[in-house]
Amino acid sequence: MPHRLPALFGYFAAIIVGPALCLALEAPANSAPATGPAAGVEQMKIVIAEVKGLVQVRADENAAWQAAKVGMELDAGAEFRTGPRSSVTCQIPPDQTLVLDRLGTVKIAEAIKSGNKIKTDMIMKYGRTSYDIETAGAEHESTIRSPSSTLAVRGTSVSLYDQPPFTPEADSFHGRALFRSGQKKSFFGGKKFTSIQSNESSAAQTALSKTVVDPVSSASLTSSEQRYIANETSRGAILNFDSTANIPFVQNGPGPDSDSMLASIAGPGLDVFLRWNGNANLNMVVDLEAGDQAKVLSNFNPNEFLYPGFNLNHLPNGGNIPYDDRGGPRGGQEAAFFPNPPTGVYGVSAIFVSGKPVDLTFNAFLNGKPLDLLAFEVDSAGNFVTDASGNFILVKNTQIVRPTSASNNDVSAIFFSPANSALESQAIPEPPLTLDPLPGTTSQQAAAKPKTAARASASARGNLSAPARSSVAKAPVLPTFHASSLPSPRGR
Amino acid sequence: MMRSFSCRSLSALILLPLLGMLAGCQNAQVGHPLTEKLSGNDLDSQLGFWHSLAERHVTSNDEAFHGLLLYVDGKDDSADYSQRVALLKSRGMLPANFSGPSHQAVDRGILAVCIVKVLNIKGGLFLHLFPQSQRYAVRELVFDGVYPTSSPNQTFSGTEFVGVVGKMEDYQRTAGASSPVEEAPAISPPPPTLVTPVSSPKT
Repeated sequence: MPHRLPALFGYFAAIIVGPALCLALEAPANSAPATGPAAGVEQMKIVIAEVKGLVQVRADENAAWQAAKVGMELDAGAEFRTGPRSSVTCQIPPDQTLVLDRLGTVKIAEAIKSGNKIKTDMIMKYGRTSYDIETAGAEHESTIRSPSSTLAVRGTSVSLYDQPPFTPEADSFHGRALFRSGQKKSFFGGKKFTSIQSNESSAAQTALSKTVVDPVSSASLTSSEQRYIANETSRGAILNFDSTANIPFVQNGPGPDSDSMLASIAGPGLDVFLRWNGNANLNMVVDLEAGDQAKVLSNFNPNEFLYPGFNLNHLPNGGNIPYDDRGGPRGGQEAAFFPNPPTGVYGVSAIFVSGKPVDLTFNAFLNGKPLDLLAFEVDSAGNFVTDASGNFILVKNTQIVRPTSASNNDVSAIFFSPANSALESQAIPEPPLTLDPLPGTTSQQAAAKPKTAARASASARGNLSAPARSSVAKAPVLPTFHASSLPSPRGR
Repeated sequence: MMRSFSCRSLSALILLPLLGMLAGCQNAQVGHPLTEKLSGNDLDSQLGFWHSLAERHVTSNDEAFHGLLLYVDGKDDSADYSQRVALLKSRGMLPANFSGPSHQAVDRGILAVCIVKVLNIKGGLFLHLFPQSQRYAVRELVFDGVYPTSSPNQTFSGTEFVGVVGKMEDYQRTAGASSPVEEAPAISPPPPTLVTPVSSPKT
């Protein structure tokens, strides 16, 4: 069998516990123990306590492998390797226990005692190693090193898993530990079991990511979508899967995000949000027609659309609605994400499925920046406002707030991605509006906001009876949805 | 003459890179699989196989199938690659029409079909309908955490294959401990029928 000094040893980073000191970042090329202990330093013995399955051990890297047996005593420099469905438990008396799990290899590079201080250095090429220190009076300085992560044991019982191609993970069954991976380091652990992965910033983030199970495929979601779903779940929403509609759904959530929170969620690409503040179930519909925006607008005929469910929540261009929010006492929120949004004109609409009259908002962000949405002005009852000529009045706002109910189920807006100031200038700016986040807000109270907006728009125009601006040669056509035949859904 | 020479050289300019691309499209090959020397069932051979494989850049079909049999049965009594393939086919772990050579790098898709069978994973609708489908087997294993994010056409390095076998064991240890999906909810209303937009009506 060819013998080679594993190159990976040259890349190990050292981690030390006890007083949490970090050693040099690179392990020495030759990690064999020094010949002969220094004065006052006692070499500790390693005793094999348990062997399961296929386990071999060798005294050092130059010795031949032999079958591990219970009771064998070894010195520092001993190396262990296990097969599938195998493990080996070693003890370093009086109070240290090391367990190498299946398909791994670990070397105990150093195990010495100097006065009341015990120093142990373990090097794991790959696999899973657990290390345990029984509470004792001696001070321990313990190191577990692996190729891509390091674990500093502050507490008494830890485990390190490092096996390509999977994410390194450290567990603390009891006590504090310092986990270092790359340039990140995180303290974790305490009185209860805690786990941290190298791709998460903290044990809390690891726990949150593990509580969210995306029944579709997390690999198909962008990082912002995964974070969005995780945030909703962390705020108390219950995530389920509707096998009939073939979409995950959330219900009884904590209500819609605040305006500032929404801005922080928006990331790369195009993000469209629908929020509502009462006990209702709304479904967001997003449609689009790609192309030259001015030409499209002259005859807006959307040919792609998203709906939360029934395989209509994914588009070939990557657009998707990750879940259906079915509301609850505190309202709800739905989102559509387009990682690579095509240039064109987009429409967004809310279908009132069930529940009480509520207020809703539409928001759209392109690469984290809010887009102007265009909608028709409405009065307090949600009816369209017209000018003296009978034309609807087009307004624009980065946040459209409108009332909706079973009888007033016709709320929609359009926007341009990317923004098109020339086309947007045809709409009258609407004052900033905010969705009242308080649960139980009455429809009448919330309707005061659109009424305020209507008055503000009227004052901006000077006179409600004044004719519409003649400069608008062709008024933008705002899509209005009615129950009728369904266009053929785009297949995936 | 000049024109025909130009056409010939132009054709060569087009064809040569294409031929080069075709040659580069072949699967990776393993020169000397470990099974040539480490195919025994004794302790030295088995552990030598696993931990030598962990240092290899690519896992061959022969090595992967030998490893699977070691994991499933604790031994591999097959004399050569053809016997291993026949054994795996008889157990339904390999498609009946599988004919990959022993030295060729193993496909993650083929391996996924084997692993799904070993772990007795039923999967979703499409895996039920097409149990030999490499695509859905890979997707199911990615979902279960046994595979990293993968496509069926990729291969595994030696250490990656060892890691996957370790994950197989972890999966079997915890199988049935938790269910990722809660009970089916009430039926969601079907989508309303929609029309193309109409002009805003005047009052």
